[in-house]
This record gives sequence, C-alpha cells and structure tokens, in this order.
Amino acid sequence: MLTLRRAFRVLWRRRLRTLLVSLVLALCVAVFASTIAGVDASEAAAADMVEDYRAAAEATLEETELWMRALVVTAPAGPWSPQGISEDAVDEVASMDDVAGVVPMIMVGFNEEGQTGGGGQLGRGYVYVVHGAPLDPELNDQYHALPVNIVDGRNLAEGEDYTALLSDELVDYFDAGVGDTINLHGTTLDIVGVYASELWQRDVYMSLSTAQDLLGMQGQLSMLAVYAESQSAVGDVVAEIQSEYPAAFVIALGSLQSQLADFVQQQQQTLVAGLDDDLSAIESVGLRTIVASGIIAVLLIFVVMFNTVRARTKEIGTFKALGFSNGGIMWQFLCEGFYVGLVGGVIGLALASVAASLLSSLLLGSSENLDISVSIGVAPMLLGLGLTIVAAGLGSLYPAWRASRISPMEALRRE
Amino acid sequence: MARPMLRAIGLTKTYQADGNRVRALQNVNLEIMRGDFVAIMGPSGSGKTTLLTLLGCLDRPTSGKVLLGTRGLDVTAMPESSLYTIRRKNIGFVFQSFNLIPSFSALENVELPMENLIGSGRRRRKRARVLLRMLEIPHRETHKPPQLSAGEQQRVAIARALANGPAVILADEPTGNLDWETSVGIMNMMRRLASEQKRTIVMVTHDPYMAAFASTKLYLRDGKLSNEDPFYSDPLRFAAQPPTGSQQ
Repeated sequence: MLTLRRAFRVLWRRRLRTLLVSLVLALCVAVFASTIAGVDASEAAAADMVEDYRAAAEATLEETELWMRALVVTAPAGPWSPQGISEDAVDEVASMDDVAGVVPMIMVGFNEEGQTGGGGQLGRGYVYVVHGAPLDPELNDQYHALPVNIVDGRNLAEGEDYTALLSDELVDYFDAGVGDTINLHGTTLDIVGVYASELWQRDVYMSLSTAQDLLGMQGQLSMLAVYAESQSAVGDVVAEIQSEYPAAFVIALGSLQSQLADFVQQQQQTLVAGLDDDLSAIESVGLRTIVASGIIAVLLIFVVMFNTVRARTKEIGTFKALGFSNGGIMWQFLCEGFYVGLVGGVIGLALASVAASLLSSLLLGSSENLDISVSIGVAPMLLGLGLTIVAAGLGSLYPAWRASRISPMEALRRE
Repeated sequence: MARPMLRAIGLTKTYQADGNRVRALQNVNLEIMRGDFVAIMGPSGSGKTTLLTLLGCLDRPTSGKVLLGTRGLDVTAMPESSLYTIRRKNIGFVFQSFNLIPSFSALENVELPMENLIGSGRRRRKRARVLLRMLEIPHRETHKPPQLSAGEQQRVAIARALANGPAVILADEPTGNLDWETSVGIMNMMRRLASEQKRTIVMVTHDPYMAAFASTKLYLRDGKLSNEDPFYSDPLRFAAQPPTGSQQ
C-alpha cells in the first residue's frame, strides 16, 4: 500500500510527462480495442448477411410452392423477350380445363447498353428489368404478382399508369427515390414506392399498360403465368396449351424449383466465399494491427521505465541506503509502470468507446460487401484492459529488475 | 571494559578503473566507541567515501572485516538480504547533497525509512514530527525539498538518518554544500547527537574546520589510515609543492 502511494506521488510529480506517455499508450489501447471490435463487427456483419440471404432464399423457395402448380407461357423468341404474346391469349388460356388463374405480365431485361437479351432474370447481368404487372388486387393477393415488402412509399395502385415501384437495388443506380421521376426509354415514371429486393431483383414494376407503352408492345405480353387447379393437372394444362399454341414455350415451374434451389445454393456459396475473402483480409490486417499495437505498448512502457530508472539512479541508491530491499525497489517501479498503464488504459478505452468506428475503418478499411457497424463491447474492453496490464507488467519488468540490481555505492556516486 | 561500536579489521578495497587496478583502501584498521564523533579527513580520492560505504554495508571489501555493534557482528559475512535490515535498523546516512526525495514533503522524507519498521502511519508521523522539532524545523514539515534552504534540507536529511534510532550515523561531507554559519550549526547538532544521545558518528570531510568539531580525527591518504597527517598538521609546508595523492 505504501509502495503504491509512493509510486503515485512520484508519478504525480512528473504528471505532465506521465500524461504524455499515457496518451501515447492510450492510442495503442484504443487502436487495439477498436481493431478487435472492428474484426468482431465484420464477422458479425458477415454472419448476419449470410443469415439474411439464407432467410430470403428460404422464403423464396417456400413461395415457390405455388410454382408446383404453375407454368409459364412465353413467346417463341424465349422468355422475357419483347416478341410478345397477344393479350387475347389471356382469356383463351383462362378458359381451358384445369386452369385456376392466369397472370399476364411483361418482363424485359436491359443491360448496360440498354439492349435486351434472352435468358433468365437472375445472374444474367441485367441492369434493370421492366416489369409490367396487372394491378388487380385479387390477382395480386392470390398469385403475388407484385412485391409485398415495401420499404419506402407505397405499392402500385389499381388503375394507375406511369408510376413505378423500384427495387432497392436500383435506388442508387437511378439515383432516385420515392417522389422522384425516372425516364425509361423516353417514358417518364413517377416513383411511388421502393421494395426490398430478394435475391438481388432489379425490377422496375409498373402497370401492364405502362410497360406496353414504354416498350412499344401495345396489345402484347411477354409472358403468361398460368396456375393449374392442382399439381397433378399441370401436365394436362401444358399439353393443352402446347396443342393450342404450338410455337409457344411452355415451362412447368415445378421443374424449375430444383434448378432455383441449386441456383440459390450456388449463390450462397459465392456469397460466403466472397465474404470469407473479405473477412480473411480484415482479420489479417486486424491481427497485424493488434500485435503491432500490443508490441508498441509494451515497448513504450519499457523505454519510459528504463529511462526513469536511469534518471533516478541516485534516488535508488538513497532508497537502498535507507534500508529498502531489492524487492521493494523492484515493486515500486512495477507499481509506477502499472499506474502509467492504468491511466493509458482508461483514456484509451474511453477513446475507443467514442471513436471505435472511425479507428477501425481507418485501420481495417471498408468492405464493399459488408455493412459494418462497430461499437466497443465488453470483450474488446476487457482485452484492452488486459493489454494495459500485460504491457505495464512486461514493459516494467526488466527496468524494475535492473533498478533493484543497481549497486548502491555506484548509484549514490551518480550525479 | 567498553567494546567498540564499529570496527574495521584489515579493510582493503581494490577495483578496476580504465583497465588499471586501483587500491582505494589498504589494510585499514579502525575502532570507534559508542558516542564517538570521528572525523576522517583526506584529500579527494584518498578513499574516504569508499571507507564510509564499506562501514555502511553499501559495498563489500576486497578483504578484511567490518564488525558492527558491541557484539561485533561481522556484516561483511552477511548475505545481501540481511544487509538491508542492518542498514535500516542500525545505520543512518547523511549525504553531501542531502539526497531527499523531491516529491515528498520534509515530514514524508523523514517517515520514509520507518516504513518497513513501524506499521502505524500515525506513529511514523508522530516520530517524524518529534525529529523535525528536535532539529528545529517543525514549521517546515509540509514543505518539499526544493522549497527548503540547503541548511534546512540537511536538517531534514539528519532527521531522516535518525528516524529508526540507529546506533551509527555515517555522514559524507555533510557540510559540503552549506555556508559557514549553517555548517557550524549542523556540526554542533551532530556533536550533541554524539554526546547527548550516544550516537556513534563517522564523518568524512576534507574541511579541517568542520573536523575540529569531532572528538577524534583520523587521516586517510592513498587508501591508508593514520592518526596524523603532515599536510593537515602544517598545510603551509605544502604551499609550494602539494602532496601527491592518487585519483580515485
């Protein structure tokens, strides 16, 4: 207790220097704790992202239960092409046996050059997809023709034209949100809502008539989604449509579900691999930063305590002449190192608690794939505190031991 | 028959300096009785401080013995861990440059040696106050060394040396940094400590005026101790040709 008090008094006399040393140490501790927090936050963000994807994929796959009794009919040029199916086909197909419902739609994807292409919506490099949907509440309720997860504004309303519902994936691309307008192929659309994309949909939803006008497809559709009365009736409906429209593509979506599941799994693997790369980079930089800040903290205390011992050699000699033991002198310098560590640690953790986000982004960089939110939790705090104790102990040990071994006669002769 | 408080028998100390073997002390024999105030005089480099550090258990002789106390405890044969206790309980040091701890007040400086002997802080403080009063500086107890005059600092240092009631006080040029008047005051105080409190005081100095306060004067030259010295007996003889002395 007396040694602790004595060490405090000595440091208090040198308080300005002690404070300066503590501030440098504080920076090390703040960097140390913030880096740990940053790495933790990155790992948590990656885990959240994978979980979000998994949940979204599961929801999509669940939704595709409807697909088991669904089939799509597209024009000869292939799915999502602008060649078109006559609108008259809607009523004709709807009147066929075993058909429960028909959802007419237009889906035309555009790439960076503004050109359309064949193939599916997902993973084909479309920048956006013009998606005309019937604004019929009954159809939408039954067959989910419009997205339901609106995150801003509202959904499209029955009977309205030249309005659009935008995927949140497209907000940045168009640099537009609810209340703004976008111009697609010479047609101006008012954005009334933004929906949360699942599986990176980049669709611009609008009414069928608006899409027809925009694409010059008056009286035509690009696709019919046909729902059979039951799963067992799907084959009959396919056969009936093919006999009626021999040139059309008819695909039973039930067969696509397994393909979609494979695709989802593949996408998940790609996502996880990408996140793993990001995490590896972050962890590698983080580990180096943590080790470097720890070493600097130990070296800082070591250099300061070593110089303290050198500067106070005569004082050490006096203590020995007064009957203080080697152990007592060693303990005194360890206590001084501990105090410096404690002050630096407290300031460092306070600094980390307010600037962890800034420090970790400066040190670890940012990830395009991860939305990282850094805050100092209990673990980084405790580890930061541990660093100060270890740094104080390791950094002071040799100087304190050296102080205890100084010959009293030599020490007293030192001026 | 009274036994000596401090004895040196055949004390020799040699060390290496710049590759040369220097004999700082050569076969020094010494007996100091309880209550003696001994001044050891000699020029710079004569071995005065070396002798004092050996007597004070701060260093070990190359050969010879130091016997402490009337029972003749051979401190040169004791392990380092026991010497702390010997120094703490039996020996008080007074230095030329006072060696006070600058961050501590006068009172705390005096309390310092008592830390390991007196558990109660209140008792330590009480004793420190008594000592400061005895040395006539009770009004300075809260002052730190830089706020004290040189004379006051030396009084605090003497109070600190007396803190644990040591039988022996070793003073290394205690008036070296003091003016004449203050030096005389300090010398009178040390003489009283020897005569009234029966402390054994060994003081090294090169100042014959200060040595005059001591009851016994010894002379050290080239590491050898003697009862008289031609220079100090008749300094004018050496005015034209100073006596030679090895440099330490």
